[in-house]
Formats: sequence, C-alpha cells, structure tokens
Amino acid sequence: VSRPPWWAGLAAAEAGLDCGGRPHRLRWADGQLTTPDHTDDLEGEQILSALGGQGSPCLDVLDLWTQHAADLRVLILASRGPADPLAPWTPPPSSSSSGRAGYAGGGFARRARVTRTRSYAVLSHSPPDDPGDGLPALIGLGGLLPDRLAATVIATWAGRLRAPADADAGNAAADAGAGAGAADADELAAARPALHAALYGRAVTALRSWTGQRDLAVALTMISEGQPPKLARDGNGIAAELPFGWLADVWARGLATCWGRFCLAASPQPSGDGWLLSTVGPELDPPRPVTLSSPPG
Amino acid sequence: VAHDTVAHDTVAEFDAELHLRLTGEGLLVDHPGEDGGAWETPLDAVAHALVAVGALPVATAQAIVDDYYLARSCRSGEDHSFRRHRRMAMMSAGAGPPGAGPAGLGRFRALTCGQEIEQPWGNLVIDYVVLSDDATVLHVTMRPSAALGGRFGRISPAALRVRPGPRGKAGHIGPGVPSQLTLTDDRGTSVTAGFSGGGSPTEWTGEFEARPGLALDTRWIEVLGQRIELVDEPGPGIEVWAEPVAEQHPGRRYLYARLAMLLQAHGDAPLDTTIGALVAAGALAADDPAITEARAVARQHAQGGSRRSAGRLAEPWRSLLAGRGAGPDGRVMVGAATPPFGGMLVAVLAIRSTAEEFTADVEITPGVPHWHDGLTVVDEPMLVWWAADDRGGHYLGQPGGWHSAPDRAGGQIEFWPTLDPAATRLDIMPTTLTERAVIRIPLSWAVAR
Repeated sequence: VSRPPWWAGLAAAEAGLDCGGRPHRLRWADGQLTTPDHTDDLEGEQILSALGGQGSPCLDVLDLWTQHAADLRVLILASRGPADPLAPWTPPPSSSSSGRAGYAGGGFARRARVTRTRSYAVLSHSPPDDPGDGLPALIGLGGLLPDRLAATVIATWAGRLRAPADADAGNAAADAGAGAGAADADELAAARPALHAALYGRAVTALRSWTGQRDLAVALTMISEGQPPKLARDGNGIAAELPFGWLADVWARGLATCWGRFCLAASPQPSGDGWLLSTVGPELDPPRPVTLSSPPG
Repeated sequence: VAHDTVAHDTVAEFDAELHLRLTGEGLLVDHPGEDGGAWETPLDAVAHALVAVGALPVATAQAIVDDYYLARSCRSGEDHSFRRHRRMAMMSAGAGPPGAGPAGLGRFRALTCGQEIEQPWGNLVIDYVVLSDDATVLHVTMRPSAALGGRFGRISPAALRVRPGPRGKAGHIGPGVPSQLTLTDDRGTSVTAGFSGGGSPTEWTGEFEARPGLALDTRWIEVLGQRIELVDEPGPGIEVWAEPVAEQHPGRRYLYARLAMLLQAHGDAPLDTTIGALVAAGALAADDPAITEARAVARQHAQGGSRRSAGRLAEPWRSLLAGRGAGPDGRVMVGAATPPFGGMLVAVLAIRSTAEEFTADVEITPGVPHWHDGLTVVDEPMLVWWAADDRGGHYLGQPGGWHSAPDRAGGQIEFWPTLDPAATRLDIMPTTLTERAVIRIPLSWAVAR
C-alpha cells in the first residue's frame, strides 16, 4: 500500500503571537511549524536574545512543539473534534506573579535561555509541579495549530504501529516518526491504553455528531492496522472496530463524515489525484466508496 | 511522557489503565460541564478503586487523572490546580521516615463538666472540657435569657469567624453573647479562647478554643468569674483495640467500604462506576454475589428503607436501613485514643445522643478531609465510621462540623439511625480498608443540660 505523506490533505494553518512586543506569525504547512517572521538563523537569534536578557516566544513554541511531537498527553488535552471546542488558555496566577516564563498578554514572558533543545527545564513554562509542563500553552495557541499538533502526534504513533507492515511494503518513511528502530515493541505495548483512549474519544465524538445522538452508546474495539474497519448495530448503540490509524487517515483530515456518511478509511486515488473513501450510511449498510478530487491549485 | 510508557506487569494492569483512560474520555465527551458540581467524578471513583485494589500504581493513576482534569480545564477555562496543591500539602505533611506511622495525638484529658454560668444574655453551659498539650477546648451550649424573649437576636456570621488575636478585644456574636472567653488555670496562667460553632435563635453549641492552652494537669479553670473543678473520674470501663477487618477479599472489601461511604454521604455518585472498575481490573468477578448485595443495599437506601424491606438484607445493612424510633437523651464522656490502625490514630472525646441522632466528638491524625472534598487524590485514605450496639444494631457516621489540616483533623461525627434506647454498650469503629479500631463504651448516660 502506497501511503501519502501524513500531512497530505491538511491545510496550512497560522496563529499570531506577541514576540517581544512584535506581532509574529507561527505557520504550519506540510508537517512543519515555522516562524516566518524570524530569519533562518534561529540559533543565532536565540543566542542574541539570551545575551540581551530577552526570551523569544516564537522560538519557545518551536521548542515546545518539538518536545511534544510524540507526546500522547497532547491527545488527552487536544480537541476531539468540532463538537469539543477548547477555551482560550490563560496562564495560572502563580506563573505570572512569580515571573516565570509563560504566556502574558498573548506572548511568552521574557526568559533567557541558551540552546533550543537542551534548555527545556530552564525555560519551564509552568511551576515545576505543574503537570501541564507548557503543554496547555501549546494547546491554547488558537486557530488550527493545536489540531495540527495533535495530527503530528497521531501520525507519529500511527507510523510506529504500521512500521512492520510498511517496512515489508517498502513504505517505512511515509509517516512521521516511522522506522523499525523507533518502534520499540515494549513501548508500543505500554502506549496502547493511551492510543486506544485517544481513538475512543474521537470516534465517539464523531459518531455522535454523525448520528445526532449525544448519548449514543459506542463500543469501540481498536483493531490492528490492516484489519478491515467496520460499524455495526449494538443494541441501541454502535459497535465500532477501527484501527488507531483511522485517526491519521480519516479523522485528522476532517473526513470522518462526508455527505452524511461515516468514513471508515481513506486512501489516495491510484491516480494520485484525490482521495478514495470507504463509507457507510446511517443504516450501517455495507461500505461504499466515495471519491474526492483534490481541490484545484 | 513517563506515565504513557509504563510497563504493564499483568493483563489486569493493562485493562485497569485502559478502563481509567476511557473513564477520562467519558469525562470530556459525555455531557461535558454537566456534572452539576458533583462532589466527585467517575474519574475520581475509578482511579481510587483501581489503586486501592492494587490494579494500578498510584503514580500512573494520579498522572492520568491530573491529565484529564487539565484537559477539562482546557475546555472550561477553570483552574483545577487545587487538586495538585492539596496533594503536595498532603505529601509535605506526610514527609517522615518511611514506616514511621501517624504522628501521635499527644496527651489529653477529656473531663465532664455540665456547669452552668448565668450571664445577662443567657446561660453558658460548659458541657465538657478537653485539655491537651497544645490547646484547651470548652465544649459549650449557650441559650438566651428570658429577658431577651428566649431568642437570640440576629448573629453575624462574620463575628463567628473572628478568632482572638494576640491583642484582640473580646467581640460578641449577638446581643452580649461572647465570641471570646478568658480562661485561667491553677498556675495563674490566662489564655483567650475563641468561639466557633453554630445554632438556632434558641440554642448555640460549639467550642471555645485556646491554642496554646492551659496547663494539661490543672485542677481547675476559671471562666467568667466562676471556678470549674476538673476531676478525672475513674474510667467507665472503656476498652480500645485495633483489629483487621473481617472481609479479606480485596475487591469485596473495597466495594463494601465504598458502599458505606456512598450511603453515609447520601451520595449521588453511582455505585456502578466503582463496580465497573473492580470488574475491569479483575478484582471482582462480574457475577460476584457481593455486587448483587451492594446494589440491593444502595437501592434500598435510595428508596428510604423500611424494617420490612430491609429484612431481606444481611447485617450490618439490615439494622442500618431498618429505621428506628427516638434515641435516648444524654452524653457519655469517653476520652479514649486508639492504637494505630490503617496508618491512623483516633481519639473519641464524648458521645451525645438525642431523640434525632447521636454524635461523637473526635480527633484524628493524620488529617482526613470532609467527604465533601471528594476523592481528590487517587490514594485518599478511606475511613468509614461504623458503630454497633450490644443489641445487634449497626450505625454509620459522617463528619458534620469538621476541621481539617494535612496532619490532623477533627470535629463531630453524626451517626444514623438513632441510637437504640435499650442499648447498654456501643462500639465506635473507625474503619479503614484493612484495619479498624474499636472503642467499646458502656452507655451510662449523663443527662446533657
């Protein structure tokens, strides 16, 4: 199975940030978060900021993003879909009053640091005992960036789960973080409850939105990657069998429902132009294909 | 992401973590923000159960619970950090040598009194006095004089919160009713005691507390110009001991303790949440008879109970839910402390019975929160206040007026149903998951004035 890059079909996203009194942009596109208002010499800017006793909120976000790109806690905090909106993040009183780094007035408070990757403990954005560890600030960036962070984490873990099969198919680099070396079997086994829970919350939210039943009972089985997904009646509820990769292929791309049908799987058209969805209708009849063409341009 | 990559030693541990996480998902996607201010969420209940039966390590469960509350605050904008702060306070208070056990309650004397002091505003009845290493406490009842029409005027709640400062003047909580008293001992030492308590227009009860207090072994104290002789009466045959709880099956033991807590709190937290967690963790079989029994008890309690319908239940539930008539009227001084049990120490100072209820005044270490605080940490100690009389009657208690700090707590335990007037002996049994203490008290009632 040839799989497109995990970010294929995900539109670019931006958020504004107060960076030392200047309005800056954070831009996500093609799987990468960038700071278009900074030069390419991020390390140099960072050192200059540190020497000047200033922080660089944009670069801090880049650090946090890298730090949490495979963090399953992102999937606990992030939205389960349009029906699960997040509130704007505000810093806890203790962090602003103690002068700790953190968002203040839309930007991170000034905080010196030396390197981007090794100074995380120093620039901690929360009190040391705070389980948030800067993550609430990242999740509260606004716009679609938190969704893109969640998509990054989902793609990382979907890639690990698919690594054995993808390696056989010569497709190992298709997903972020994929690679047999990284996909430690013990680590994957230990992460399964968190992966299952992340799939459950999003699938339940999508199914309830699709059916319009906010109390719909959903029994979810997380099947292996490669097994056929399906929906079936379960009393008054629905029994769903989905792989974790459904989140990467379908949910993260906003394809959970299409034309009033629930999407079980999505794959690129063999022609490379558009997507082929496997969908079921409200009667949970056998899956039928829906074809989406790529938008022009 | 340490807790996301914990190793699962058993299948049950895997299932337990998944069960807790799915409960957390339910917290977010099942009617978010519609818990009506419930005193605990299913997430709290499930985490506590899984930790209590050893299905999940404390650190793993706590990290998951914290993450889901953080997720909830990301949606509501509310700050849920109070849970973390409380846990840190508990850890700080509990920081001691491993296996050191609870800090002692210290020496104390609980002395019956009953002395009545007439004042222009009414009568101050000193029900009993407790002297300890660090405080002197007068348990009192105040009633208005006939000159006031037999009713207190409006009493300012703010006045009641005022504690005497080092140079504070004696305030008043009503027309002349003192909020502070000066106490003097036989060494000539004087201290100021501040009032806390509550009541109605016709009667107030509460405590005047001075901290630090008077000499522990003083022979008398002077209050409002009257000397009160403090006589240590011979012990009335009170026995105290600690023992393991009878139920040895961890799952059933937890289920019964949880059931008792839900009953005493008249809780709306569904028992099925706990049952589901215990079954998921393999701590209880889905067809365990204890589940059927627990559901029957909860149902019976919810329906109000009656002697006839409760008759189908086993003890202690049968006598607990059967209902009872008016209790006897009086007070028994106890003044006894338990040996350590389940990591706790309890002192019972006195019990008081009226037609409507009976109560026990207690002190406990370490601090145990009021049940209103819910299960804010996953390994919150469970303490169920059972009591039993010598006629086969059982009772459950819950904290009423309660003060709590990380290292110490205390107040009044309110028991139900009313005490059997024919009982001649009462066992107060503070019970943890694994051990309980028994304070056996011969009931020789002194008429409470």
